[in-house]
Amino acid sequence: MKLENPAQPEQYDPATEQPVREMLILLGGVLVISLVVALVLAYFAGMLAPRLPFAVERDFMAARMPVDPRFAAQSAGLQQLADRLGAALDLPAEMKLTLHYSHDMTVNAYATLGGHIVVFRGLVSRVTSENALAAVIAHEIAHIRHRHPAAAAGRGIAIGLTISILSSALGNTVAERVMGTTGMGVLMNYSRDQETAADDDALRAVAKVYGHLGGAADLFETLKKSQPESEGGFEIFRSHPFSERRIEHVREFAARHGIPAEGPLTPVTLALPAPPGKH
Amino acid sequence: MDLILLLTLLAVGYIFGRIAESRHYRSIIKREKQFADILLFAAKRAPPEMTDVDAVLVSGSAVISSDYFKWFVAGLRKIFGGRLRVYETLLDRARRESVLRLKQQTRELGGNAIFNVKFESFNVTMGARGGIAAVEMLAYGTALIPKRTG
Repeated sequence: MKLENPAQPEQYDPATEQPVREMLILLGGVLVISLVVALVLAYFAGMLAPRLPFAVERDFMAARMPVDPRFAAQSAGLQQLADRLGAALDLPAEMKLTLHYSHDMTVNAYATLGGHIVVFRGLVSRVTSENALAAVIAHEIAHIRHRHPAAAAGRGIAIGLTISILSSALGNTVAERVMGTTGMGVLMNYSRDQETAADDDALRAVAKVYGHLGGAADLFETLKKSQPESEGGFEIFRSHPFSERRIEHVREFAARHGIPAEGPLTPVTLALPAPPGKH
Repeated sequence: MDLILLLTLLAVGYIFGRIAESRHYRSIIKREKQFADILLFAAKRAPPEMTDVDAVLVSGSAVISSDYFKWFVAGLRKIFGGRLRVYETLLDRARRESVLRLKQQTRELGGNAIFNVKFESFNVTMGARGGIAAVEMLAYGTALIPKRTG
């Protein structure tokens, strides 16, 4: 009997092993699946969140929107205007609006959860008529009426939660950005359909309150003309993409509904405190 | 922040794991040549011509740890299934190292053949939540040692 141990072939050649490539392929798979899950969850969250009672939104935001007592008069002035526009939009009784004046030169306004609308000093000082200011506020009210902030927050939380499975810190950042008050206005990006719906409602409200669309039509034009080159654009154009199409839409809307596109403009009566000092 | 930590651990695991693995393989291949004259068999009984021998139990064990990179890739692999290549080399190293220790012991006893060789493997898990895995491979068998005169 012959006894021998022939040499075994090497099964693993370090030169041909590609563990990094394997990791990237697997990681890519995980990321693609997570992305699909995130998008599906975001879609359903965006659909379901607006079905929550509005009171849930209001309770959630109750302690999160601090009121600045220094600007109570300005906030009250804006509140009055918003209430008129809200009535014109047939806002349901439980959707109470809370207007906040922000002493900041940002040229913008935004609506967030719980019926809160923040209007910046920058915007109030730029508009040439109350009609134009009303158009912006009505637009934000329309977002609230359609529960767009709730949908956006639902989507943001769903995406944040999915990301937190992969990286808790990154997920938290996203969720905090959505839920925190500071990032709220910036992150509330609405779809073009949502913006168009809000535009239509806003124009309807302005027409009902003033009897014409004057001021609304040239709102964007006025803002664009007064936009200083050096400041790199107004926030309002970033959150509400400006386009010729949109101005055109105002004129179309006026023609379609037989509303006068021009009319006497109401001046802004809001007394503004001195602008904040340069930092 | 945790992403930076993860990438650092992955890089450390990959670089040091790779260095350790290739160094270990070089050493294994070198020693396997040195011990090539000691024969290993799975058969239970020695052939009849090998009678003038003593039978001695010999054993060799080796514990090899995986690294963070291997552990991470294995975790991903567990989701999709398929060959766990990163752990295959780990077990291959542990098995061959345990055999080398088996042979070393046999040589010290003056033998040159081991029969009825068997392997046992054990999972050594370090840390909570089934963290980075290490494997122990135990090889044992019956070494045939030529009868000592006197």
